Amino acid sequence: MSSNTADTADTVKSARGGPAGRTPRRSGARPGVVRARKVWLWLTRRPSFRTLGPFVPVVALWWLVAEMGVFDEAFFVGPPRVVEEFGELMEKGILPGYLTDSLTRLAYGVGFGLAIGLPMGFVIAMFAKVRRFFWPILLFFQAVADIAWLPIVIVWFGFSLTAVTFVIVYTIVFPLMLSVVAGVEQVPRELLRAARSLGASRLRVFFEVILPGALPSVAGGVRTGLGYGWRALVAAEIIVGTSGVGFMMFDARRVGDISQVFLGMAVLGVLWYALDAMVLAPFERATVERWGMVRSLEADG
Amino acid sequence: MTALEITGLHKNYVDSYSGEEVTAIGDVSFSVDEGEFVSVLGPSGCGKTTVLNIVAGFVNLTEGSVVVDGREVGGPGPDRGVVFQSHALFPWKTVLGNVVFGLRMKGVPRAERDAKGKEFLELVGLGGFEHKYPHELSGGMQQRLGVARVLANEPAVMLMDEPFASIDAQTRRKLQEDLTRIFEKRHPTVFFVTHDVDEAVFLSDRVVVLSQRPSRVREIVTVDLPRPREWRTAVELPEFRAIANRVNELLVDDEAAQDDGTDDGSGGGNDGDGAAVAGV
Amino acid sequence: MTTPPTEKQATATAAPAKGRPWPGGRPPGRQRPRRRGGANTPAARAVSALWFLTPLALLVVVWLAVVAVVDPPLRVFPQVGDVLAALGDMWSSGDLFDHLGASLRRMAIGAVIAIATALPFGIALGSSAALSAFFSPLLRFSVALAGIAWIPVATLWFGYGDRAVIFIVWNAMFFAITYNAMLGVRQIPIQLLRAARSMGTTRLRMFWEVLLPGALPSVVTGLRVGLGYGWRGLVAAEIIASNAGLGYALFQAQKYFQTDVIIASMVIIGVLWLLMDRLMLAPLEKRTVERWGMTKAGS
Repeated sequence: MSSNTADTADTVKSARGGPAGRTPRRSGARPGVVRARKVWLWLTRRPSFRTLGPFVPVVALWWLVAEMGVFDEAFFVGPPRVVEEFGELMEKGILPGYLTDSLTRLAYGVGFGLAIGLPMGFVIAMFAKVRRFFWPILLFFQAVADIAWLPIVIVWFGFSLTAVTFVIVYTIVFPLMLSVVAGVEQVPRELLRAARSLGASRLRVFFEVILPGALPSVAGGVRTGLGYGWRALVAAEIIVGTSGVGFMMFDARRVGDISQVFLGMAVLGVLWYALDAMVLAPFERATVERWGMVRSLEADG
Repeated sequence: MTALEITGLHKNYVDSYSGEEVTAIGDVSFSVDEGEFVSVLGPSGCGKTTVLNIVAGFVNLTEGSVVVDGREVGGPGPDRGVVFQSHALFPWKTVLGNVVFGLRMKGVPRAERDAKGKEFLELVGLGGFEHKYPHELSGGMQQRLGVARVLANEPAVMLMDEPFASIDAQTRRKLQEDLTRIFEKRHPTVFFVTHDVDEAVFLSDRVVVLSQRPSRVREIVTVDLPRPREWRTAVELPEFRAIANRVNELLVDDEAAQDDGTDDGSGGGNDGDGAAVAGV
Repeated sequence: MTTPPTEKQATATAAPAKGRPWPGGRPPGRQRPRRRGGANTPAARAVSALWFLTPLALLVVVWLAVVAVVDPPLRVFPQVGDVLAALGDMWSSGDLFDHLGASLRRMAIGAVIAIATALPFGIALGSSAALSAFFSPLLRFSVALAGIAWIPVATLWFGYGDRAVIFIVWNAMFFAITYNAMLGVRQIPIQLLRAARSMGTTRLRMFWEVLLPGALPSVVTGLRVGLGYGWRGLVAAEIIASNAGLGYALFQAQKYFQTDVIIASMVIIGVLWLLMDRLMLAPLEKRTVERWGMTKAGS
């Protein structure tokens, strides 16, 4: 970060220092304009600015709309009320408690989901006959929306952590398996042949070629699965309703506390973003993008 | 009569990474007569594609003027049809749908445009493929379609941006001969960008040789080989070799001069394409 | 790990010739298989249908056997016959059609509004580099939040009932479609845009002739993701905020521990989703993206 700043300072200076290198014509570029352009260019290259910058005007707009009183205070509150609510609930310890509950459930669900979905996905992907047999079943279970499982799961396990975990695991496993199959099929045949002709055993081909080759798709699957799992968690908390951020929102709605509902949504959004930025994106950067495989486009927006 | 007139063309752009202003085109002037085939040739990265993009109206110029058919160029328009290296066919339209695209945009009635589209498909040897989709054609056929699509629109100038660069050597020869045949038959005005010396000499009436970046016109070589031309006889002609050698010398000289001079590397990379995209 | 990779490839390439081994849809992101001659003969179709139905039939057999052996009480798990009886009851009492009708109507209204609003918006965003850079993080934030998390607000704004449920379906789909339409436009090669412009295409025609079809591979992905979110949102919203629909039926049955009705509703939900995919998305994809030889965008 600091080296980058120094870097920019340097280029700005050299630009003011007169024509350097082979740039004989700089048609009417005033130093101020050049500097502003450079700062802007530098800013727009910062991932954090590109990601967070757009939220500034949006929050400002939200604030403005709330201040102008376009909507009734009972249905729409501005950022200050939400921040105030946030402080209050943090102080009382309600929000940290609910957050912990939600995240624990998510962690359990994701952990079990990955542990079940990845191996099963690879088994189905590697063995054509197994895949052919299980494919319709897989499609059918994926089609039964996870949330539709909630009632029967409640019948089985009551309103418990097990019930919520079950539903999250269910939501994650199927998209994950489908994307593993897709990923394995995407590995170019030349790569498999190259590895085999370089003397790799079948087992090693799996670990050295198929596994990394399938990663872009698997990473996408984990992301999709988490997205679904996240929704399922919120739905389960609303419906099962004993604690958690989803419960907090629905409880607040019941008593008509709109600022707490807004706070819940903001917390959910920020949490997802943090999860994405701190867990998923670094993983993808370290593997898929580092190897120059497909996904960089999405990161670019 | 002059179809395309380029005078004192300059192009500067701001490098999107360093923020530096780079001069891509120093000073380029030349003209293309109606019914003439002119190629622009230059070392890689010299900005020849940028010249074409400016003429096409995809990129704004910094200074100078480009006049087509008596009108100053501002943005893309149907008076300048472009044949792209990547073919740029619409995958979601059939062969016929691609050929008549320009006519549809002009509002030509269906019966008329379909007849005209078929006529031009016949001309480029794609008769009978009307209802195929582009991905079902070979690379060579795709580029024939690219040419037909532009010709059917009857532009004042046909701009061709290294159209055969991504096609295998054998097919390329055939396409060059077919293009010559079409040119000799219809006499469209053609502005052709390439880095292949033989191709330029074989196809053109005149060859504009550009220098290294920031590019200037080094020399305009007139090719007075007899038409109709075909490869088998053309390569035998001593004039053909002489002209090709002359052009090659110009290019080699330029590279040598560059190596002696202070090459700070800013000229590397592509033609500065996409640096300042106008309107697209 | 005893299956050699070569065998996997062999089946992968041979599969299209044998007819589509997975009629329910292909694994996402797979390269389009080219249909060869013979894949569409009645015999080949019958074989592929058999391949699809046999595993599901076996699943039912396993269910029959396990329940027969374990013999759990009905309030824990129903026998196949119980579920069929429950379906029959729902059919004859007309409940089935009331709930189905309510759910499908809400889904259809929400989806139509979502597509009508999201497609133009997403394509407009995609046609400007600056706009898409600005909206990209906002949209990703919204996609993550879309649907279910809005249920409390939706019920507060619209009250319990149809409007809240439709709002949730719209909301769940809108952001996914917008985001993918935007990405789709960004992925159109610049040469195609230039070609169209150089042939005198006006802005309005650009939308229909170039931007929309060019973005279609990605739009289809967005539709699939969006419909998935919307479908889940619908079920959740019906559980919470309505007094009709499949989600409501599920929830009522749960109150009285009617596992036969629960499982019957789940099967209906699953079958409906498969039908939606097979009858709407797959044909759309086959007639456009695959026919045009465009590679499908990964999901």
